[in-house]
Amino acid sequence: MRRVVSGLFVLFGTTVLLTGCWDHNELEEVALVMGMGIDKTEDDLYKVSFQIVNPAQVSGGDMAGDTGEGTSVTTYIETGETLFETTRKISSQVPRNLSFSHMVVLILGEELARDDSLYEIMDFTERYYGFRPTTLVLLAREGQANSILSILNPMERIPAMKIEETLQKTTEAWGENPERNINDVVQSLSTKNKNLTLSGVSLVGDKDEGQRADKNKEAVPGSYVEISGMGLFKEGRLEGWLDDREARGIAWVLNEIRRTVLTIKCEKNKELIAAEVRYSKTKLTASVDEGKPEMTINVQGEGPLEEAACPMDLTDPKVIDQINEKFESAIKQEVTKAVKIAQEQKNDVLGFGETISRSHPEEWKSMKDNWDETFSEMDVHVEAEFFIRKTGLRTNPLILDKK
Amino acid sequence: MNFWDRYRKKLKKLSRKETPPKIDNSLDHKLDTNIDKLKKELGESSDLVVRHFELGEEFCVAAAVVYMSGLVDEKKVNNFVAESLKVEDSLKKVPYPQKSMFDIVKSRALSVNKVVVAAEWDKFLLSVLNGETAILVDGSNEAITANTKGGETRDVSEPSTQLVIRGPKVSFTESIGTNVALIRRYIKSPNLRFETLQVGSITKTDVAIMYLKGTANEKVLREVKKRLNKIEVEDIFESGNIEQYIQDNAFTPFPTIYNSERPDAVVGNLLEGRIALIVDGTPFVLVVPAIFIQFFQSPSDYYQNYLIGSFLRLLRIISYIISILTPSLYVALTTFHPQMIPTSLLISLAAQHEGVPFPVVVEVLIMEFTFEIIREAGLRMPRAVGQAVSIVGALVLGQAAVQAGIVSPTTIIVVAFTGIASFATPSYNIAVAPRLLRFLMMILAAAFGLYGVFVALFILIAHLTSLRSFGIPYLSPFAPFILSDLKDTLIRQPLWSLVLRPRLINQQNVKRQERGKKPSPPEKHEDN
Repeated sequence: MRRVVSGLFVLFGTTVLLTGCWDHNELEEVALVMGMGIDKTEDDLYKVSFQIVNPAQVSGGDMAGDTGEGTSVTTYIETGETLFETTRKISSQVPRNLSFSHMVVLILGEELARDDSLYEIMDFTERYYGFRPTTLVLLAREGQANSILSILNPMERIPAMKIEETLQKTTEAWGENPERNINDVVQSLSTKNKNLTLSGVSLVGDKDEGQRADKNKEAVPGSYVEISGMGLFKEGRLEGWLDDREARGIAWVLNEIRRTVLTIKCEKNKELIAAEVRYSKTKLTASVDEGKPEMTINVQGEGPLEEAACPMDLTDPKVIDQINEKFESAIKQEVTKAVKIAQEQKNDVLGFGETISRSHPEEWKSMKDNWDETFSEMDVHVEAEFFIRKTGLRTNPLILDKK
Repeated sequence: MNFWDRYRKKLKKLSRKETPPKIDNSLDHKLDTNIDKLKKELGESSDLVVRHFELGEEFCVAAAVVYMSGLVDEKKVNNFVAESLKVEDSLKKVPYPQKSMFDIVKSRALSVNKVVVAAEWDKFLLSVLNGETAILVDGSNEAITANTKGGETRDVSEPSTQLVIRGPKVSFTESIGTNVALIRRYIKSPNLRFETLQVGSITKTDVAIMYLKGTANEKVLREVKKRLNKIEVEDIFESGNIEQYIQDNAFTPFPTIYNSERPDAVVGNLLEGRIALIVDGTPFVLVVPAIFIQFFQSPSDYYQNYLIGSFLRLLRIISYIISILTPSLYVALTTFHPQMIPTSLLISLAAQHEGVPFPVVVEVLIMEFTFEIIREAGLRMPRAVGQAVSIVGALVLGQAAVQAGIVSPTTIIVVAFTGIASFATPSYNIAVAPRLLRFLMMILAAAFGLYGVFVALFILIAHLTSLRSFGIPYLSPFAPFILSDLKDTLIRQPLWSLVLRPRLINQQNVKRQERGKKPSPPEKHEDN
């Protein structure tokens, strides 16, 4: 018995040594970093902004004291040669230990993204134990990451969370902006083609005005932050931006559309019909013909009709078929345009190379050295299928009753 | 070591000295000698009643009725002993004096139900002290003892523990006779056996072993008797005393013997093949062998719909786990693993903790300790004051502590939740174990985080697995895993599916009912 007990003690004792990041830290000694912004200074130093929560200002209830008095977050800025350095140097400003485990967004300045720093940054975010790989990565479009991070918002008290949730919602409902986290970015940087897309976030209005807590009393905020555009990266460097339908075209190809809205015009008329895509699936099929690669993009989608302003008889299956075809051509148009842009930029963000290397590994070997050129010249066929599941709560458009 | 040796030697000496001197263990022929001896042995006790008689008309023989007032039913003594001795005709014309007088008294004169002849002094003395009435006749060296037990006892009332909404509202009393009768009323089977023995060299407490012959495990029965006979102690007041002498492993906070004051619970266990120990002087009847899951079974599980019964039983087990784990998990997560708490919850926790001067562990320990004090104080207080204590304790103290910024509201929630969860266990003696374990878990959680909690949990489970109750593994039917016994553990399956008795408890009369007795609506007939 005694031997068993002492054996157990040794066993438990050794496991203590095996545990990883594991330390005692009282709640009041922890500063929760919700968002981190990385910019570059003129002297080529990193300028990192840490958004730290003031818990008492965020949570309601009796104990939190008067909310609304102070700001819900404080953003501290520190510069340094390396990122890790800044996380320790910041202790001269912050009275607590930084904890990155609840960080929701990592925002990179546009300038920074245009040079090669992405590799250095992503190495740190993956190597350092404090980060979660699920933290979302965004680009500060036309601005500095720190100014975007510090714009307050009345609905979501923590700006970083506002950005995170807005991105999640828009990816879910509209589909133009990709939702990428640290893990996704590191993955695409370490694959063969180092091209990726990241969502942009930009500031609308005045920065100084947006940082004040009392601006939360405005019903129509003068300055706010919005998710805008899709940044195209080529070999880890930001090359350009896409917006609207073009960005969505890329998302169709990447099979990243969860839900979105398609709008088409009726015949001759200006009236519009809109349908929500509730389900969509994109298949890429590669074929190589005498060394020349070809790509077939097949987009499938379905969803209900949600708005109909055309005088059409929707009870007639033929009419529905016609509408289906129109939606299909709308999708085709979007996708074709996006592919064309990517080909013009010689930037394979669409993952064609990946597809070909998987389906035709032998042929890929000869292609990969000159892939950018091959990509820009290859033939791409776009197919689309769309199916209207239902016409919503009404059958015929109300406009039919006008006559 | 030296000290211990000396101590042991001293003990040995003491035990040698205590061998009792030989005394004459027989009754005398002379009545007066016996009476004098009795009075002397009881120290001229004033509750000893000695009533002298003259028996017979032709030959007058002196006799005496001896009893302890208060222990006997005075009415019985008057009507069935004293009165009948006077009235009985045959006594008046005894042809031969003295010798036959005793026999006639024994066989004819007494109208009491149970009459025994005591030839030894010990037996005679014990029966007098036990509330029986002894009749001594001059010239006979034997005594007749008549069962006139009575005196003040409590009526059968509603149980004060193990309350149920639906089910019999009867509980055992302090009288062993009543308790045996209560069980007999449920089981009208000749196989229901009970054997009585006396435990405690001074208190001579009656202990009845009750079991269903042919169903109870003979091995366990032998073991129970062996252990009961091994008890050598002066006093037994309560079944709890017996429990501590006969349990398998004394070093555990978990009870390995079940107790209940509900006859239906005891009867259910007897029918499963367990053995009940009824101790005179307490309404709590012991049941052996006991397994862990048994303490979560409430009699009402069987009286209501099995779906609801199963749900409630699961709920109890979950709340038991909650009552062990919640405070330590709270401590571990907030101080070691804040990344495991959802962001907004963590922020709100941090906000509440702002300005609280103590670490979370100290906070929780203070509140847990306070809660235990309130609980204990509420129990000891007179009933009228107890209410006030709990109100002051729970509401005022909690609220004030939060407002004063000494503890955070979440801590109050955690402690209160844990406290309430611990009341959901139907059996009190297993519900108290977490109260002790909680503190240990909290300290481990504070020192090592989740790692500490899980080490503690691991040790706890290892300990539970090592426990035995009269040789039956405590965690059965989970460890060892017995599939067929799982029917009535975490959930309770419908009664008609509980065909077999638990296998470990009972090996002989395994079948409880026929298979396929599931109720169904009547079949449709053409002629209807």
